[in-house]
Amino acid sequence: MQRRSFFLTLCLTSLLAAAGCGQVTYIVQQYDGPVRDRDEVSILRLAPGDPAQIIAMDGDALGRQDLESDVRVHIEMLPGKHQLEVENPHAASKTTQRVQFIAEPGRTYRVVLADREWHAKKSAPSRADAWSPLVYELDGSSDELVREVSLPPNGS
Amino acid sequence: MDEFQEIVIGRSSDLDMVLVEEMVSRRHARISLQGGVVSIEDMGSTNGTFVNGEKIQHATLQEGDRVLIGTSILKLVAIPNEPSSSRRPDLVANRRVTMRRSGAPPTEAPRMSGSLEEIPLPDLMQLFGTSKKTGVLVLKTDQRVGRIYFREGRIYYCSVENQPEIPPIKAAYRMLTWKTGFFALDPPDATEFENEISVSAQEVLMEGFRQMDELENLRSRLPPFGSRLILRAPLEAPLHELEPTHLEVLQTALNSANLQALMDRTETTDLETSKIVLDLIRRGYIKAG
Repeated sequence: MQRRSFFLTLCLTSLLAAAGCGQVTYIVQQYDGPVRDRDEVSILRLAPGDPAQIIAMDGDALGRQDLESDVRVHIEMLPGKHQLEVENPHAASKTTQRVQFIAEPGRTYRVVLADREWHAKKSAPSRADAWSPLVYELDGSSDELVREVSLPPNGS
Repeated sequence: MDEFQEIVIGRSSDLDMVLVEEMVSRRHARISLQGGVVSIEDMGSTNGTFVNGEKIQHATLQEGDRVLIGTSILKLVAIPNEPSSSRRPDLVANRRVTMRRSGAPPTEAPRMSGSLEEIPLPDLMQLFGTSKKTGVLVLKTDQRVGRIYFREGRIYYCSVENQPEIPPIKAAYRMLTWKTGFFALDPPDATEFENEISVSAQEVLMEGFRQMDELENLRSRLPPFGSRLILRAPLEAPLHELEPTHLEVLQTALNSANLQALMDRTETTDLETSKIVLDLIRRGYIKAG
């Protein structure tokens, strides 16, 4: 697949301070060509306080995501299979882990860093790694996690 | 040729048509004219006799048929019979594959070149396959340039210029549809390819023609090649229920300007891609925009 690199650099402090309004959604178009309708794309939502640092999507490097408290980012992508490379800045070692998922049109997703405590809360089997990135479908309006959509490692 | 005349072809110097080359047996094949019918018979040659790309023991020839013996291609043409206007069959000068030197040093092997109208690609592939050639067969049409890389008669890579995304085997099948233009056999190329293949010319021809036939049957059901494929909304079924190959094609379709671009970009052959596109349309995932 043709790759298109973009660099997401979010230093929006001054911009948002000037705006002085409520939550601002910053949209990044992660596909070629003209803007598509909402029901033709999928959204990966990055919200303030997300510990996950998404380093790359489908091989395209992303910049650091240091979001202000009233900023969120929507990465708009075409539906289909995507791969994310994720870092956990709070982890003892800066390892990068990959997670794949299939994005459905019109749906919104979020990356969650799951540690053993998380797995315990969710009554899910703990994974061997100290942490692992998971992709969840979100309820777009309430931000509630609806269901995990990560593909199994090396899954197709 | 005259009625009841026979032409024996081979390497032996006492024959009617002498082809001095390793690939030709001493007495290779016999061509005869009887009752206005020209036929050819292989005389037990080592490397075989081919008519229009097909290996034969015995065959009736029609005007325009191409006979491959060793590395020579003979073409049957009808010429007017003086003084009447009736036409009688004859074999055109034995070598239709021209040999020319293009300013190369005298020690360098002559370059083989010609027109695809005279010698279609299937015959060339057959020829280079049976004669275990090593080199790059370059094809040039009005708008396209293609390359087929041979190593000792086997095809190890194919490419269409300016379309590096087309996988090699798919490029080979595409080139089989090129009917006009020029060809030349260039010397071996040292380029190394990551996605080398290794197929015989015969395999490419058989599978290529099968796919061309089947694709032709599907063509009327496919959207126009210039049309864009878009997602249906709402979707009948979620994408995660799709087979991986279908998902790959669908995703590539969404990233492609039109069906032709999709065909160029998918890893699967044009036939497989067409089948998947039709299936995705039937199952309500995509439509022509």
